[in-house]
Amino acid sequence: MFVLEIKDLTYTYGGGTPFEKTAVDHVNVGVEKGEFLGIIGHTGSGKSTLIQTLNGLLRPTSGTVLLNGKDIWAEPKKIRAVRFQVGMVFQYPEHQLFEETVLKDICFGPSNMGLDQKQCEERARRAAEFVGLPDELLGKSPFELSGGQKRRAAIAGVIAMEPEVLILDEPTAGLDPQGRDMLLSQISDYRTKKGNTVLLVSHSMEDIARCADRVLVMNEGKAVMLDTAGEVFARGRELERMGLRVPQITGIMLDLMEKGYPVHPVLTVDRAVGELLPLLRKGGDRP
Amino acid sequence: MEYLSAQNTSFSYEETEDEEKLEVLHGVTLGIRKGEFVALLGHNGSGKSTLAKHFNAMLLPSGGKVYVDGLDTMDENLKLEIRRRVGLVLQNPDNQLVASVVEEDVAFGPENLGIAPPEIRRRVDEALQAVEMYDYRLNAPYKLSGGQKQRIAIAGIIAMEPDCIVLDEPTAMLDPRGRDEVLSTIHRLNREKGITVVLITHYMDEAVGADRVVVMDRGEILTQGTPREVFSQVQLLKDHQLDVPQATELVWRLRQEGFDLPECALSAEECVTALQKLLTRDF
Repeated sequence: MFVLEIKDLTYTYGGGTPFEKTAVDHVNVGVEKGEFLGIIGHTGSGKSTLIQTLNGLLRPTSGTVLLNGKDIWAEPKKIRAVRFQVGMVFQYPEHQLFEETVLKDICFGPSNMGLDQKQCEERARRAAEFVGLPDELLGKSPFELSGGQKRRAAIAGVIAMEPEVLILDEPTAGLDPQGRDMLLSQISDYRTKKGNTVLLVSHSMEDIARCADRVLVMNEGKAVMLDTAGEVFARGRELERMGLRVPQITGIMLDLMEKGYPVHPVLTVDRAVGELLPLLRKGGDRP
Repeated sequence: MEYLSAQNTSFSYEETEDEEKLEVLHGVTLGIRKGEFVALLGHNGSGKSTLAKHFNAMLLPSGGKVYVDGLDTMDENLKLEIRRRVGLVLQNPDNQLVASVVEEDVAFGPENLGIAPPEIRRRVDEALQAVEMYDYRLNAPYKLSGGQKQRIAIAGIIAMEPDCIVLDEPTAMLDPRGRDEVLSTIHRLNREKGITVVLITHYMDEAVGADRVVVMDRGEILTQGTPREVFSQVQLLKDHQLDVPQATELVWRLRQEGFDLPECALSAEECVTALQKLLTRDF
């Protein structure tokens, strides 16, 4: 069964005014339990609007969002409970840190859920471990942390609510390659260990290619592709026309394919080496 | 003569209560010529942003000297002169736009320099044309895309007619299209107006187009040279956990396997051309 199901969802900003704009246009997507779904699309494609409907921050103009088969807006007064089940990490979440200590900040979410202090702290420590924040930092002020550490602390604050579905909007923006790799592998580990569903919105095809089981491509408010990462990136030329770009290595392999070589649009340098070595060995034997 | 010159420059952040003085630049010497396009690479914490902020006197060296067009940044009286010559563009365009209309935003800098209104008008129009945003001059900045906003921020700097622009990860928050827009704008300004560019970036493919690449590591210069010279040193860069473009890595790894490939491929095209020479079509 789908943990999240988006059915014929449309969202229109400024309905009935001259500025009316349909940001999400009749989108249908089912997200499997435990799945890692990547979402890509250029600025203005509707991806941010879409994810905000998933935990009830925006109410769809039409269509429904089902969480475990139940319409999240069935009882509008209980929408708050949905936000504990579908956790959202916004862009630059470190701007939202505010407590005296890192530990207190991470506890903020669970304490809003009505858990007692002991439970909150247990969860906070577990969450901090998931994102690789060492214990000795938990007593510090969030403002003493480095940029990367702040980002982790903010993500831990959402993970501490132990949401069934975790949504991250551009979690690696502004991090250096090392920080980006570390954070992505921690998110992947979290998914593997907890078996929870993760939705990752990113501009970076490399990030998506590394982690996602399936990829949803948004363009002009519509869901235009939903398939495995390999299948989606194989349609690299179409993505380029939408203002997106495939990883450089995938582009190289696509180029070779178009020139008639029997290779696949793989997503990593390792795989490309694996495909090219046997071909090159053959080529070397040429008389 | 070098336009920007760091001479044995060190920098330490002030001591705090529980932390010792932290030196983030250890005697860096670097000269940048007028009209040059230099990409500055390195991890967070490598000192690349710290060094760049010395080039418009945002930060002052704790040891050594920094000169801009021959002016000593330590001389308080020269600070305005230096800032007039070197403009700084930061990562987040939203933190750099101040007005509610695009052209007013671009006029903010020259107004502060006390320039006469007709001259401001000319500069604003020219700056907006230079970043190809003239048609948006009466729009509200908040309605623009990230790439457009960043180009407005660049126009605001151009309108002050600096000799040099220092850009600190200007594309980190942008989507691929926005990155292209900003990057081609910077290259055009460098080419057509002869503006000296110092571009700090994490993206290796952005560094490939520079005249010179300088790689920083732990407060020192690890290596520098043309993009080809720098990216040929794949092993050195890997040892310091730095990326190279994927095209470069692929060719390097196949070369390690003993195939007769060039030492360095900088772009996808170069890589494909090199591979085609070795691949047979008889499968």
